Amino acid sequence: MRKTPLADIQCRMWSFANPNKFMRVSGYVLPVTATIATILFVVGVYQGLYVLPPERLQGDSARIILVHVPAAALSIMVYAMMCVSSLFALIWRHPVADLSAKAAAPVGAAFTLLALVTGAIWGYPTWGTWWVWDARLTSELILFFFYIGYIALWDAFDDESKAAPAAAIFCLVGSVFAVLAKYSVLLWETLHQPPSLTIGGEENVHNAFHIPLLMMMAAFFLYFLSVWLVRVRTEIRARRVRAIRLAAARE
Amino acid sequence: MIPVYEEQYTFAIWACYSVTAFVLITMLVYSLWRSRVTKRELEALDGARRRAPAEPSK
Repeated sequence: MRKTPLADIQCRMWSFANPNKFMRVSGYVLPVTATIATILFVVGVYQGLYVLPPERLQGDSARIILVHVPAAALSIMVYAMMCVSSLFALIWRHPVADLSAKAAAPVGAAFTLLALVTGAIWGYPTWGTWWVWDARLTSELILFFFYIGYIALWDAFDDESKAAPAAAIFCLVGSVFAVLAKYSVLLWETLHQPPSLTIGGEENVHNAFHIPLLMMMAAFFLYFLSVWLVRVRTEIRARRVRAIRLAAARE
Repeated sequence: MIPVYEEQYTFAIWACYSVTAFVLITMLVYSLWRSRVTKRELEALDGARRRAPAEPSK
């Protein structure tokens, strides 16, 4: 009998439920993603600081797009990935899924903080203000608080088995703000400009900025993948440490 | 060679690239440090468990 695509994805996800297999596969993937991310960062930053011409309306400040847009995009993507992991942990009790979301949270929070800070620094010379209570900015700020709340919730419990479902539910509640952060510029008239890059839609960046921006998006994504893999591997080892200590305490 | 930009944007450009580099490098270094500490801790515990004499069966 042929498997449906969803069943196929579930089968593949379950093959990584074995932490030993995850450690083995991630050990091969990690050097590749880290190397490609480094190369893309070097080329992308060089393009951003040296090669790109000043933009017609925003002048040289448009160079900031290469760090601001990837950070903002990743802040939402990482949260979406945490929601999927939380669903896997809650519904299918996937043993690596809760660790996956836990490992991603600090990296996602860092991207959100970067999006807010670089946005404010860019906003001052172009909008004339560091901050406005605009739908995009406000939803991004609330998303940042959800990241912090999620990390705090994991630390609030001594027992990991109680922390995981509570954090997963909290993460799913915050998904509303991830969706709002993504679509707020389309739903409301905001000071913030519409999305710079869309799949299959109108592009709001000039061709000269398009390739470097895609390059930096890829660099940020591969950076996330590399750091996330390191952090999941650490969480798996930390879980083993806790299990050994618990077993020793019982003897 | 340090590039020269329009004066009103110079601070914003350098500040954004510097803050980004600082945050990403700090996150990477912290994650690698924590990974190393946990790996050593696990190796020490595993080693101690292997060295411990097996308890006689009751």
